[in-house]
Amino acid sequence: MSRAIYWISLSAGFLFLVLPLLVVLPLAFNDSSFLNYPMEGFTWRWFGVVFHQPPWMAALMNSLKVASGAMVAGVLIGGLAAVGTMLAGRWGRLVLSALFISPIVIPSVVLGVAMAYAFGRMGVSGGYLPLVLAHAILGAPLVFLSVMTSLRGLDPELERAAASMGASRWHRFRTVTLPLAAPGFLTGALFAFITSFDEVVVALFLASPQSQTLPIALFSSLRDRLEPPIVVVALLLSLVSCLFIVVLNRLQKRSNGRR
Amino acid sequence: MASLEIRSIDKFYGQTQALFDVSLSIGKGEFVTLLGPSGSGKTTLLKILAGFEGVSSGTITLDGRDITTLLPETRNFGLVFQGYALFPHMSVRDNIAYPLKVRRVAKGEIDARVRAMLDLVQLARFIDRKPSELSGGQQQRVALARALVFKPDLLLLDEPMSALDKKLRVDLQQELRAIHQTLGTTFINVTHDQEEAMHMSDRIAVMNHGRIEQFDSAFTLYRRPQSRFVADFVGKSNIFTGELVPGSAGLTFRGEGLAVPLGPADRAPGKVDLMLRPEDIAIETDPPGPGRIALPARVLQATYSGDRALYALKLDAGPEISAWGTARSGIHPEGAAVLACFAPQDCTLIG
Amino acid sequence: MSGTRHNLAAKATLLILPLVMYAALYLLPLISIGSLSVDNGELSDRFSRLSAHFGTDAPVDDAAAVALLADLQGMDSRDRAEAGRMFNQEKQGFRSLLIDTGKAAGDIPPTLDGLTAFDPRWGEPSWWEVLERNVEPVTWRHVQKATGIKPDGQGGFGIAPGDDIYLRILVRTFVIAGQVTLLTLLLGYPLAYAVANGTPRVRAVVLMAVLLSFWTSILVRTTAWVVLLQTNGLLNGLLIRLGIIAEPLQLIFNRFGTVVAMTHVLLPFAILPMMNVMRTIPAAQTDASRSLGAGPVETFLRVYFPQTLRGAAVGGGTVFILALGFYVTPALTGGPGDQMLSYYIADFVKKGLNWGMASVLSLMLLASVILMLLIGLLVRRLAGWRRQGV
Repeated sequence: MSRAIYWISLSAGFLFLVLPLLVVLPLAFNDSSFLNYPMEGFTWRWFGVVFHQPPWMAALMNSLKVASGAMVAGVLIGGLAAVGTMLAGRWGRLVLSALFISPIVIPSVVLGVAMAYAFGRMGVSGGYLPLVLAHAILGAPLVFLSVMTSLRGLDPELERAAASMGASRWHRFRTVTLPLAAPGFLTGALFAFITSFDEVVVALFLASPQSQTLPIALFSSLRDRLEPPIVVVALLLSLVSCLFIVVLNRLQKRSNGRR
Repeated sequence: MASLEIRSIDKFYGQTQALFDVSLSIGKGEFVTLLGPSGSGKTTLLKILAGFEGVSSGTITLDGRDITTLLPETRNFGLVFQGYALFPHMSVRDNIAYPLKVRRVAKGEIDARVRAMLDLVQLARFIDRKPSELSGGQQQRVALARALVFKPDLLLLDEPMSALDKKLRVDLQQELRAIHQTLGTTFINVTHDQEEAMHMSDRIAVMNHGRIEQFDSAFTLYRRPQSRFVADFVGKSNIFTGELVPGSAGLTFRGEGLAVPLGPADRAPGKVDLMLRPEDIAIETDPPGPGRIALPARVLQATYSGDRALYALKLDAGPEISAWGTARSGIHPEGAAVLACFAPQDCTLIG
Repeated sequence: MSGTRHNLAAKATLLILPLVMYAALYLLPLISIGSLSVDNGELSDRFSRLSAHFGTDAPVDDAAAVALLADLQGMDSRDRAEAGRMFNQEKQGFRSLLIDTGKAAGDIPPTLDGLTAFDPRWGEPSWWEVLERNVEPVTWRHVQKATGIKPDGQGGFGIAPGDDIYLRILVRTFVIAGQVTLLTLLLGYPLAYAVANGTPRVRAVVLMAVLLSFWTSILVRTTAWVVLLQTNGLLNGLLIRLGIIAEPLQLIFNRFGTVVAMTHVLLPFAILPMMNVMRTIPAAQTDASRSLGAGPVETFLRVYFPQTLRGAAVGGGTVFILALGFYVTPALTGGPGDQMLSYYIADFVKKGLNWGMASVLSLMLLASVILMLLIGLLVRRLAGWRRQGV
């Protein structure tokens, strides 16, 4: 009896989790402008639409630019924050960690409103800059967390060993700490990129028509009219996520193998 | 000629004092071991020597130069860590080359010196391996090579053998001793293993509760301990508490049911401990010749170890003692009545 | 010791950039919405003279008329329309009154009687009261509108019927978040259990599904539900073909659609913490319980389940807090009666650039999130004490 409960509840949860995407995404290849089954034939037509008609490709390019910028800025901010926080005392570490992680729990709409207003006041508006900066703040906590994790896993004796052999603080950091924490930085960079690449809400407040990102384009057309290109974009975004998981997995295996 | 001078070091961690007025004078090329139980302050002293901890008071000088507040990286001391602390992302070659690269040594010379060091520790064929691909003993040797390759003024070893099994430990002790003799560098080793200390060291500093109890050669420590702690910690010993009483033939030790005539001795009567090593006691069934003392006893337990046997004896006078006995013709059974015999000149007075 | 000083200096330099960036891009914006919620600069700057007049507790007299007329003359017609619009939110007709008075400001005799002669409404105290309340540099206008709590005219405060619309929305936000949390825990528990205790194949498949779902963007997964649930969508089509229903059901743009889609989107956040806790429970415990005579159900209820509550609490708390701030999914799958606080915040900015209201509602949402976080910390503390037996 308990086996039956297990399998039934497991299957229900599992199907709920995977079916929506598994059922909907194939419609990207459906030769019909209605998003419904049965499929009327296989076509790449909707991919053509996405690749050649506005707003998709422009939005994709914007997303890539914004996400790359946000990744670089996020790694710089979050990475330095993590390294600096590691050097702090017990209480300092607690307070700094709370500060650097806190953007994660703030609802994005609140951040969006706050940043849209404050950036406008500071004269940071239009173009990519506001989006890049806002997404950097969203990505920095993730970089911070993953760099902190890898730094905390380091044997403090390694740094001491380097010191005993005459390496200066900077040289030790560059030749010992940094290479060993590199997987943490890389993972953090990936997190920062994908966070920005998928982000809608803050972007809605900060993007100008010229810097509209792919999620915004998708959001707007979802409110507008349901058409097959939407599913194509959803499929492409899912593939990016899959790629992300594969790379992440590789990274983790590599850093585990070294320990 | 003394090279490393440690003068009156105190070390506080907040309210707790970890080191009390520690002074040591270590000669150039000496192999010195800091020996003590955990919490004795030996690791703290090593960290201070390496520069990872500051002192609360006192000074350290190297060849007359004050190095008390120097940063670790400017001391030019080699350090072998307990867990080896090899860099996991570098090959054996890069690990050993690290201190040379830091010192901007020319590339060709780096290569030559790395190879020479690897030959010395007999690991030449592992040059391109990563540390994770080496055994514990091999990692230990790489750590040693890395700490010696830049010709440090001093080599500090922090419990270097603690992670190895016994057989390997003995091999490495001999090898370390040989390397020390080849290079002539001053070695300071930290350990809680008294055998290791005695095998390798020229002199041993026994530490307890943040103080140096005694700093002497292994032989002196063993035969002439200056404190009850040293007598107890270095080797097995039987210690009797009592006092020296003057008599017609000089001083006599009396205590715990024992009376040991010590003859004329240049020390004052009074309270004292008397130490007798187990190997100085012979177990007999017949009374011994003159000049030896025989104490009647019963065998509590006999532990046979092939070449000999360790006896736990209950003296008829009261105390329990341990003694090594020969085992060539069998051992005395438990409960057997025996005589524990020794010569008064083998006894050592402590305190 | 010199090493410590070295440390401090290094730390300080490393932290300069992150701290400056956080301060400028994150803390400052958050603080600015705090002040924005009571800021009345837009009006108090335009009515600087009138503001100064009322600031000295002076009555509505000729001097007030002089100040008002001078202020109005200092504005252009756009300013007056904008200010009028804001007063209009409090009292219907104010916009036209202000525009008309402003146009003629130069010709009106600068006395109270002159104003009343131009428009009799200036003789009524109620119109001046609106001005008096709304030209000061600090205003409680937005806070009152958001909470519905206003002066009741008898020296106290109260909520007039019909004024509690944002409180109702706040309650709705909590209710939806609660429903979603409950559903994610129910659906997620067996999945987490399977990842921790299933056969290797089950583990791998379920874990992969959870991780894929976790890393697929919220928007993409919401898209799938929009396509599934439409009136002519996949689910209705299937149900009709199976003969279960004759007419398409309304599955989207209502509470059902919102809760289902949000549950799906947030499910991984409930599963991962439960999974991590379940992985730490040794299988030997279950075996031990069985060997001691307990059946599988009893073993589960008495040995396994109590130990997983910690994971359920973390997962449920995470889902609840995330759900409180949700915007995208309800906006795409909910009807007008299913929108959460976030929607109205965005709406105030997008439609009317009403930063004041958006800020007050943001603070309300932020306070709810922080309150839930504090409750979570407290629960963890208390549970921790109990485990230590204190």
